[in-house]
Amino acid sequence: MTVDLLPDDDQAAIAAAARDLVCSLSPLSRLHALGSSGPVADPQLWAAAAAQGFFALDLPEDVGGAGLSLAELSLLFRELGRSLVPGPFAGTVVAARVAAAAGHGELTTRIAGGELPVGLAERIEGGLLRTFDADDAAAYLVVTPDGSALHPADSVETVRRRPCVDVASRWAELRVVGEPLARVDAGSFDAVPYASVLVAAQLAGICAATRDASAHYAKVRTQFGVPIGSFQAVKHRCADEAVRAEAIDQLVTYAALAVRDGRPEAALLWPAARTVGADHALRNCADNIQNHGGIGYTAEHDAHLYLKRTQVLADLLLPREDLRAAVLAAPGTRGGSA
Amino acid sequence: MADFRDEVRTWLAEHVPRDEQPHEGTAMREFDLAWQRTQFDGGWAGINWPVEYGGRGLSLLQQMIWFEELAWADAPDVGVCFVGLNHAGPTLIARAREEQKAANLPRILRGEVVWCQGFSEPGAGSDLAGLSTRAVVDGDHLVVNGSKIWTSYADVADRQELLVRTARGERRHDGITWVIADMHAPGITVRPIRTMTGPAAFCEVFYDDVHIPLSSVVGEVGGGWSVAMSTLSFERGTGFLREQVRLVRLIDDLIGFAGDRVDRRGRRRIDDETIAARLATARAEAQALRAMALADLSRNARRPQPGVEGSMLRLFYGQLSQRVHALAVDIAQEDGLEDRPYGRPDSWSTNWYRTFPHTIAAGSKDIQRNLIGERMLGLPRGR
Repeated sequence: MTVDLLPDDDQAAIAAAARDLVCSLSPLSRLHALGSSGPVADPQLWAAAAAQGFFALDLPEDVGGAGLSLAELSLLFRELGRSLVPGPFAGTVVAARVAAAAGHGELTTRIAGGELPVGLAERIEGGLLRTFDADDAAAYLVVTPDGSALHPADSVETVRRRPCVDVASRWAELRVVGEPLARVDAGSFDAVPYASVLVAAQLAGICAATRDASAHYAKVRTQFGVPIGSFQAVKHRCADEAVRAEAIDQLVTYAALAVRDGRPEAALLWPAARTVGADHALRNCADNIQNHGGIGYTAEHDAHLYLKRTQVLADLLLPREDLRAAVLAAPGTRGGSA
Repeated sequence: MADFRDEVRTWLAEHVPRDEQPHEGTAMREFDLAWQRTQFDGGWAGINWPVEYGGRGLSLLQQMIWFEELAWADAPDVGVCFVGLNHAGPTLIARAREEQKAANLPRILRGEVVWCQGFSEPGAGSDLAGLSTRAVVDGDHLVVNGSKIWTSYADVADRQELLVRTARGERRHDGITWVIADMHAPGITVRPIRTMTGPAAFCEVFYDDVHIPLSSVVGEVGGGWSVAMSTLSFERGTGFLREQVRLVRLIDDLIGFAGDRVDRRGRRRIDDETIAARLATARAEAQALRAMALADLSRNARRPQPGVEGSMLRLFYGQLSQRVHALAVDIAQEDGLEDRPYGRPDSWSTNWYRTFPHTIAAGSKDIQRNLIGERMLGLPRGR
């Protein structure tokens, strides 16, 4: 397997384009103005993302895709995480793959074109589904370890709504009442590892964002006549944030390549990326609040937004106990370099 | 590349010694040098050295395979050959004169000589530039007085890469000289220091009017700081993969061990949720470590000098290895209380103690954090 985990020039360009788009159309400040109900995605950003082919990066060229892979997608999702971009991006990207794998060419094109925003949904107790994309989704991708089904919004009904700590998560419990548009079993396309890499990529983005926020504040905030970043207590917390961000950043790429190539170590790497991603992001978010002192505890500051989104991402699709069990159960691999 | 891996595996299967590696005294010296000679005779010595100095000229990928397979083959540690192969040798390659290289480098590769490092002093640890072992020029010799500490393998070494103060300059980094010392020279006294693991892993070295020829100075008299800092200029970090693979193997062994072992109530250790969670976290983190190591290799292949990212790798590795060995002790329960010699798979506590230096030696974890904070994040210097 290729051992070069660093992005090449083309990949770096994709990441830079995504970052430019996100920073101009969906800055973090948007989140402070977001109400507690209604759609969360910025319509302009959604349209621009579709126009730039973000939902079709990993689709084959014969269905209108860019023919790239999960590696490039994971770069995109790092940027979505870094800026806490709200909206059903992961569900839509994975749903396009599901539709393509199920042989629904026209549906694939519609999803990839952004016409059908798809929320992620997972099975919970009582035969219900859980989603955090309720007010944006025109359809839901129900992801299970056995396979995935794409349900139009009118084939599910809302059983209850729950308020979420994350301002940009629209939490609903749903019941299926109609037939899916498409369905694939895990044998032909396993959405769990795929979506998990995208979740882990967002956690990697959050780790990087909190590292940068801490380092910036430590340079500009002065106490006792000097920047607080000159104190080892603060500097070392910032350094620990940097190490955690580096660890999950490289692990996400490593996992993305293994899942893309269907390598045996993928079974270990995708739950590993989610486990490390959740752990490192939660710790970085907490350290970032600490580094900011009183202002870090206020509603007007961004620090709490990172923490709350991280809590949701950490719990998506599989609870952390199940992810750890998957890590333990994965076969041992020599993980050789060639 | 599969052919190369097969070649490495076959050679290691035929040549890795099966006797237990000694970790003390003359037996350790003889064992480690013999293993180095075996590798030399097989053409595997100095795998990451440049070809013109006896290296094998392997690609980065081939070096990675070599170090990984060393771990899978349970090959002996580099042991007493560490300083020569990984520190003094590379420094000589980077900065020494041709006759100094010719006199020293082949002997390191052939396993004929043991090197040690004389850097740290009782008053100069993390603050290396504060060293005060004095050397004055007397004719064509340096005369050295002072002492060094934490010198691994000094009791069995033949040569030492020694930093001495030859002048008090305007700046503390000035006036330091890098010199090759003969450990058998008159005036050198070595006192082994017992560690918390039992055997002496390092020593104090005392210098009492030790005469060293000026021809043994590497670089300029007074220019030793830059020589010391140039050491790792061609170390691309491939050797680190061996440590990563060993950690992966240890964690997988611990998962098996925790599945077999039962506590006094008859419950399997892995059915303890905290044990299972710690094992899973460690297994996931060991893959993050691998990804970090691979990324660091890619970075270093693209630039002339390794960067500060290496500090992140070392910090993450040091703390992870400590967590994993502490977990092993917890799984073993009361067997962890039994005093067992270092190096055996079930020497739970001793093996754990041996990981403490991972965040002390060669730049403590606090120094690594300073480097990351200042050089990577751009935070201001301070105390």
